[in-house]
Amino acid sequence: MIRDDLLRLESEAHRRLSEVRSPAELDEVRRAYLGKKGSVTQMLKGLASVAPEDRPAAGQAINDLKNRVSAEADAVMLRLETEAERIRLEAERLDVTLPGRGPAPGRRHPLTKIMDEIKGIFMGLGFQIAEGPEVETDYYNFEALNMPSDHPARDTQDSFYISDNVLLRTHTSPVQIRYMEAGKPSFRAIMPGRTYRRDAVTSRHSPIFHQVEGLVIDRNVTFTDLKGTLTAFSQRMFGQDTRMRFRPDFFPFTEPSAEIAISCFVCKGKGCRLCSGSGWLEILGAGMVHPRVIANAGHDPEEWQGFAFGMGVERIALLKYGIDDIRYFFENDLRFLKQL
Amino acid sequence: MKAPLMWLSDLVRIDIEPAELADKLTMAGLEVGKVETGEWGAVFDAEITSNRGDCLSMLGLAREISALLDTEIKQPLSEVTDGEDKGWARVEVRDYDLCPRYAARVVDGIKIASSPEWVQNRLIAAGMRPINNVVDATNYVMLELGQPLHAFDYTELNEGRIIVRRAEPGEVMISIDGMERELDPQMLVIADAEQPVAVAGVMGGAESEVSDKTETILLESAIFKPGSVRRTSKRLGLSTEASYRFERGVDPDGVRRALDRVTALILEMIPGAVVRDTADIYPQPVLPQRITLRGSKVNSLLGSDLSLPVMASLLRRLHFGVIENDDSLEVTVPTYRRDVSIEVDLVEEIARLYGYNNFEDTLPGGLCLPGGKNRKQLFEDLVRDVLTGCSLDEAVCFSLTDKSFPDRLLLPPGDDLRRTVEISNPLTEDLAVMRTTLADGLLSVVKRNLSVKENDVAVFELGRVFLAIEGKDLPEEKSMVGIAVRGNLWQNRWNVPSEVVTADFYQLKWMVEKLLAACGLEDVCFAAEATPWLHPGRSAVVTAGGRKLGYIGEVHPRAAAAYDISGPAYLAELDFDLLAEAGRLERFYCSVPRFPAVERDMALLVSEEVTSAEVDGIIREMAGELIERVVFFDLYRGSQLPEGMKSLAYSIYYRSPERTLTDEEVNAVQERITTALEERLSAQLRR
Repeated sequence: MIRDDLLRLESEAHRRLSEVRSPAELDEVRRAYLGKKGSVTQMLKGLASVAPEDRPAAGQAINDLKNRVSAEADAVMLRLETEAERIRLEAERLDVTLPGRGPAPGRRHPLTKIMDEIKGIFMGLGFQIAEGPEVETDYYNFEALNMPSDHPARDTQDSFYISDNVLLRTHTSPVQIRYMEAGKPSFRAIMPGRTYRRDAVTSRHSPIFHQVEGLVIDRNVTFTDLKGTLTAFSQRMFGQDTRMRFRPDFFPFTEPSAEIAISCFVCKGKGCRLCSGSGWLEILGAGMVHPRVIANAGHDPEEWQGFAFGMGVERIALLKYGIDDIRYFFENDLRFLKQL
Repeated sequence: MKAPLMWLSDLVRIDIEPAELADKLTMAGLEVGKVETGEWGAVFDAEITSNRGDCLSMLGLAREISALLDTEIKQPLSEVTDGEDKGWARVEVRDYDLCPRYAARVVDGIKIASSPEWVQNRLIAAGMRPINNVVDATNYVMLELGQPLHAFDYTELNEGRIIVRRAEPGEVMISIDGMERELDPQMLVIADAEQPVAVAGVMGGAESEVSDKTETILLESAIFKPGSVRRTSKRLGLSTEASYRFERGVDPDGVRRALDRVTALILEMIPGAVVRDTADIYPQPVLPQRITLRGSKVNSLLGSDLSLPVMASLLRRLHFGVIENDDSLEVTVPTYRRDVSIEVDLVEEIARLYGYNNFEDTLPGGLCLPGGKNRKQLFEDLVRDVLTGCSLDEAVCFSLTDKSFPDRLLLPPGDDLRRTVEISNPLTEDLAVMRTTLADGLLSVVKRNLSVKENDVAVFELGRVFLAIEGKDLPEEKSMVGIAVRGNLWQNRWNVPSEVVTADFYQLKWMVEKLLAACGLEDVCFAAEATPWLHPGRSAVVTAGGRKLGYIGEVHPRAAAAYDISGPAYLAELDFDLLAEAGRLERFYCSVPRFPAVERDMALLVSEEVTSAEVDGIIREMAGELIERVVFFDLYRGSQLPEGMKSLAYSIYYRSPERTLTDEEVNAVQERITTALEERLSAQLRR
């Protein structure tokens, strides 16, 4: 008899639970079976009227039923909660195509980025970084660099003068002298900085620009070291497949002197607009430091020798970013600065 | 310098294509930009570096080509003998120091006409304009041999005399271009018995110029000191083919040869011409220099392994005289190679003929320190990191500006920042003085961007300023870091309340605070103090440890107007050198708290004059060691408050590293704080 009642009760509970649509309804059903006055609870109370020998089995059966209904109710609760959460989250749906908002990170100036890249490569090659004044004496800017007054090489470095003897440095080379004067060999340093020449502002020239100078002095530093160092630099800066062209040039402060070109990284040397059809891009001047320069800086050129080099930062930035007008670097137009 | 292949071929056998020759010349240091081919055949346009004056001629280039191709050179030689009649060429050199050699020859029976077509063609191909037979002959020989020459109309020379001397004060001369030239005693002139007839090495005078009527000429072939010619040419603002060559050095040994060559050419062109006589004043003949070249030096500098015979053969190809010793070479330098005077000059000659690209690539050996940045450079990186992190773009401004920037910045007379460094020869008025502050450049950046409708500007600059120091040659150079903000700081800000994103004093202050904190500066203080170009009520001076770092504030409306800036803009500028000096890059750990903090909020009613710093100071002073942080979180002014009063609200965090604080002890501290605030600032606690 009890068995039948249990079966009926279970199927009824199952049916009602399956029809539940809300937590309130679930509560009602749960109470109707499992509550103090619920059917299952009532059956447990009715055990007293069952024959003592049948009681354990009946009790067990009712308890099993209670557990099953309770478990099913829990499952229904989970279903309801999941559904409710789904609906709630659905209602919170965003338009993910709206733009993100927040402050944009600022950018380093393109010249700073190039400068940082150059510094990084040379630091990896064991170079220190040195600096010197932008307003210089004629001695450091010219004389000590083996460029006495009346030297025609001064023609290419038209200068802004403060007085007869003081000018805005036309290159970073005077830092070489100051650096060597201040220390004992050996030296291995780059000297980045701002330089000035009395050139009108055009798309190709700026009266204010930047250079990175380099200096390596030791007992046995050679021309092949110059070549190897600048090749390593250029390939790191412009790509491992960069080819190099070293050719003689003239700088009063180096002997031998070299002008260094890299294979054009746009056309790979075939000739294009960037390299004016030559396949080569001139990026560096270099040479073995002139013995008079070493002596001027207070060291014995028979004991110490080495190389120096210089490059224009704007030139490299123009090439690397494909910029066609040097003026952009100094106009600080945000439409330019925010691009690079 | 333009060199027609047909002309070069007279002097040296060229059996390779012009393009290949151009490449060889370029790779030997004589850069040939392009080879033109046209009416005159191939013409090389070679860029001659200033040390290679000897290459400013067909002969010079031919010598280089002969070295490159290892072929013989054909020397253009002409022999001329003087006539019987002496006493025509009367030359007196008074200033030998500026004129080491002066040769002159008088030629009679001249008939001025056009020069033959072949001469004209060569001149045109080399980029010169034919004039007449005599002038063309001098130009032809100059182009061929590199020796500048001049022809005077002999009858126009007073007493037929040539005196080489410095100009006298106040002397003037009309040069052949028709300009009156004022001469000074630093200039060397060629004078006749009475007056200057040429500026030595630069240009001849109009009066003694060869004309159609000229029948007798005096030909000049001379050497003038490069420095002197250069100074004179610069002072007169006059650069000529002659001065260009003299500045770069002309072979003293070639003077007579050029004179003979030009004479022979004139005799060839003008059948009736007769040589009279010749003067050649050359008191101290220049002898070829001899240099000992150590083989070990060559290889040590070049990193090469060349043998002495190889070095000797390379130098001989370049026409150096070479004697081989056991481990060195005795090298005789031709007098035209004025650029070669010491051992390393010969090393370069060997290297360039051997070919730079034929040397190996190696890296310097020996001990080497780890590369790296110094303290200041590390701070530069830090500043850029922090400020770009604050959404600022980096600007790079010119360090030259116009003279009126101190006025735009409302600097009072005598202000320190008016100690500008002035350019004595500015290119334009807007680049005439060096900046003494970054403010001018940064405000110009704002101005420029506003002019192109970029209304939201947030930039920084790290750069030098220059302050003249009385009695010193060089100015003080200081690195500064400046910030300018205006408009919206966020580009994408939809539905964000505008006060969150609009640049204001406190937004800027936040950036400066972040920067100073990142630089490890302690004891930082912002005190209300005016800067000329800032709003007097909205600006502060920033100090750290009592030392002034810089300023921060809203731009004064009049200064803003001077830069056409509408609406408020904000500027900060800090002394970077001081920042790097007082800052700290090292970081030290402090144990993470193990006990909870107690937070108490406190709102105070105070009068308008009371500053937050005063309140903050009293809170910290009274709270003593237990205080962890004081966070300001609200400023309120409004109708609910009495007139002239404001409400300031703070969260105070108490914490002990040793125990959990009790309410009682925190309450006691709060009580002390409240009492002190009431007593000292008449503050009322809002409950």
